[in-house]
Amino acid sequence: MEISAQESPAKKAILPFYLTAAFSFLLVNILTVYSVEKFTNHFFQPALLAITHLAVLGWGTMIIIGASNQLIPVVAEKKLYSNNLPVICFTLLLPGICLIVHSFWNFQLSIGMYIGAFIVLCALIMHSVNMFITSRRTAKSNVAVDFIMTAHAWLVMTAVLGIALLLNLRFGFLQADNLHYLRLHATLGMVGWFLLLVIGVSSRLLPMFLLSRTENKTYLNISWYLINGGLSLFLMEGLIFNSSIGKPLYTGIILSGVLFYLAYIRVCFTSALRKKLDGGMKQTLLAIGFTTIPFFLVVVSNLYIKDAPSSLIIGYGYSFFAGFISTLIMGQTFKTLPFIIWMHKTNSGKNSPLQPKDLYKEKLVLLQMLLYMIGFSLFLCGVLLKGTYLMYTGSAITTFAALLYFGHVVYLMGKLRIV
Amino acid sequence: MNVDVLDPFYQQKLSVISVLNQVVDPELGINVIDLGLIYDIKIQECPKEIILRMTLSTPSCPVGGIIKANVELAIKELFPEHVVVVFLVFEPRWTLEMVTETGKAALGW
Repeated sequence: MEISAQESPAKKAILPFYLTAAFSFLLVNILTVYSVEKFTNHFFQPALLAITHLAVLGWGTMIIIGASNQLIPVVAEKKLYSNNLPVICFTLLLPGICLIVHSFWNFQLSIGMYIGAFIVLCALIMHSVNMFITSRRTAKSNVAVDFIMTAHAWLVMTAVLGIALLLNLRFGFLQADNLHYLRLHATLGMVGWFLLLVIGVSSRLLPMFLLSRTENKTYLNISWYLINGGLSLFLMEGLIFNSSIGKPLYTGIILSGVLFYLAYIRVCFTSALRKKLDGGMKQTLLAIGFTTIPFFLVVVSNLYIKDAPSSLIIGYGYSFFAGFISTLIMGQTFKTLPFIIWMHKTNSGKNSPLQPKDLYKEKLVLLQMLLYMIGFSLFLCGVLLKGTYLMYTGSAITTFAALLYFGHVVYLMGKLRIV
Repeated sequence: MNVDVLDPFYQQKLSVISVLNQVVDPELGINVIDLGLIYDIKIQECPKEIILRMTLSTPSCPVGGIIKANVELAIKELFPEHVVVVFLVFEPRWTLEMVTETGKAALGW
């Protein structure tokens, strides 16, 4: 698909998401410093629920929605169906997230919490519809699109289950305890939404950025079946039988799917014509390396006959989201955002002397990556060893990295004003 | 990209190549000549026309349209009297052998 500046999705469909997400990321890190002690206790508590929802909705989902509005048309090789739906989606998502996070922080199961959850669900459905219609127009069979569309289906299911959990806290209609459904909710969100979406988008973007000459789509197809199969079995057992006896089996199936994805990525890297990687790609590579940590921790947690220790579960969640997903997003921001800004600055009929790489500071991307990597590693060690000094140091460093990242995003967006 | 010295449009083709050295792939930061994206250039005087066959580093390149438009624009600025026609082709497939030594160095080889 060839996108000219005119055919590219509108700025309003992309940039507000990036800016809000960058601010949320900073806020998540500040709140983490403030709540370090809470990370040494059980994960089901107000501060951790608030931070987690701010991270997954305000940071991860927010930026992914913005990036999807730019990238899904590229992956599906079609124009974005609607430029107005993202505006409505953003208008609903922002207050919805604020209400949810505020209510969790104070642990008030008030009407505000339910309204927030409901309007977030509406926003996510709206975004998913836009993505479905955009990608449905593609004539070619495309495994990347399959990953992305399934991820959106899991996203809506995650939100529905989240609302059911909230209602259960008030009306108590679910058969098993809340923690059982909370595990289902978290797994659907992490594996179904984030992991599948990342695999789908990266399976198209990485070979494109690396100029890979060989792609093994069979690996991707197998990966899709294994991850979705494992997740479906996990969900069915959890909802129908209210148990998780088969968890080690489903974990094994999902991990096999991830291994097939990593094998696909390996082929892309080994056949790449582009050997010199920029900061964004280096950080992406680091994020892919980080996938090993949560999956190692989940394997270890499956070795426990009874419930695994809380530190291991928090460590797993933290390493998945703050390690893999956040590192990936930080890196890909400086692959996608300069391009988006550049596309909007490039006037037809004028050969622009500025290139996307001129719009941001490469050295700052590397500094952000280094700081974040150090901070993340210290914090994770602190969580696993219950060492609050490590956690304070780690979260202070990641906060500084997040501040640099936020400033960098604002700086990049400011380039739109310069003619 | 080589031009035969016996080609009747030798000088003009060199000028086209020179101007295309300024047209850069925005993702890679390498010009289209060093990337070996330009397959051939045909110039004719009657009617005044410049026909160019070029490729992209990947068929689904999201900025393919912008690169193509920039190529057309650069040539048009140099030869305002000529009609410029650019064809995007994907046969033969673009390979590393088409990249110049400068391009290979920029790609990290």
